[in-house]
Amino acid sequence: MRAQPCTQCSLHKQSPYKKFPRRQPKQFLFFHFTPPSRNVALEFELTTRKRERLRNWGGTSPPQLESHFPAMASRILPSLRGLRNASQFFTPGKNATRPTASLYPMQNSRKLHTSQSVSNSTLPLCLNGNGRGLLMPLQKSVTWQAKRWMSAPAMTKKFIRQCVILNLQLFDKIDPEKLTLDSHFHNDLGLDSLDHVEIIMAIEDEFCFEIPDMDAQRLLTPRQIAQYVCDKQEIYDEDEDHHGHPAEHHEVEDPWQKEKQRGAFQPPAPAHH
Amino acid sequence: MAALRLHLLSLYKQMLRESEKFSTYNFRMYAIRRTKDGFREHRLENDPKMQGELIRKAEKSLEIIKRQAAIGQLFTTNKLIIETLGVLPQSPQNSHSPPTA
Repeated sequence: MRAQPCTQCSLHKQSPYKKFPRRQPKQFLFFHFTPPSRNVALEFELTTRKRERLRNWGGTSPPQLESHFPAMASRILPSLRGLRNASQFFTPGKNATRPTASLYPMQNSRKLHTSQSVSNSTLPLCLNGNGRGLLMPLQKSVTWQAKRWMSAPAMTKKFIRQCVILNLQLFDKIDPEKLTLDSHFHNDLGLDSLDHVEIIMAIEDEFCFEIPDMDAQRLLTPRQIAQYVCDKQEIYDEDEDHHGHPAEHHEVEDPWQKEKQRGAFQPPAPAHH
Repeated sequence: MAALRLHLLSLYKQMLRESEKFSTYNFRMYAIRRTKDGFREHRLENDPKMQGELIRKAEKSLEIIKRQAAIGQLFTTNKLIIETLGVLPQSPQNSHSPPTA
């Protein structure tokens, strides 16, 4: 049947064959042409949901990890007592945001659900220029942002010692001025075994690992505690040996010493004419 | 004697650890304070009969603390204002504006 011109719109005044590309189904309707039953509202809904999913892709905010020094942090700032998450102090990227997808500019694709474009749901949608009534989101290009979960300070022997000393200084029963690395709890500081238990508990909270009772009764000076923590966390320092004495740096023997004495490794003598 | 000492110290530690698990501020503070005071009070007790009784009492208390802490975890209430993290209100001396009525 021949296509009848539409009386309501001006579209059909042109030839229908030139207007629509080949892929279009060859159904020329007798009335004003609309895309075959697309649920535009549904598509909009789906894209919104997809946008939500992509926007929340990065997951939740950085996890509330017990960083290495929660107890210390909570003691340092008494106004923040009860703060269990000290990653605020250590994470520079506290406001490191969720990754946002990079967009590819959207070409004339009719199927919104296969497009790779993602936009903020607050961005306006615009009608496409070719009058088909397609809803296409405005193009926007954004970049990925690195997400940093935690950046803890480097664990060195020195740092552990400082932590231990600080923790002990915050103890009520210990005079902070008298405290040194080698001050014995029972002999020098006058603490009893119940206080010792509390000290060990504080160290456990600080470094987030358990200390069994058999080991705990051996740790009677801050230096021993620091050494124990280093051993358990497997932190080695080149400048100090196991007992805390400065390490001896041995001269490395030169394996080619004898040959060098003999005069080897000399450049060949220039050829005499 | 050494075994008894070790047992007591481990009991002390356990009680303190379990007391920290209370979710209510009041119960938590009370339990921690009471264990510390209770153990320190009878530190120099020499009578073996009294010692045995006190140890049994402590073990019973430990069981009570464990149970109650677990129940408290099930039915939590709001945290107290002193436990929450917040901005300290500015006193009139700090802020250089006239105090509002």
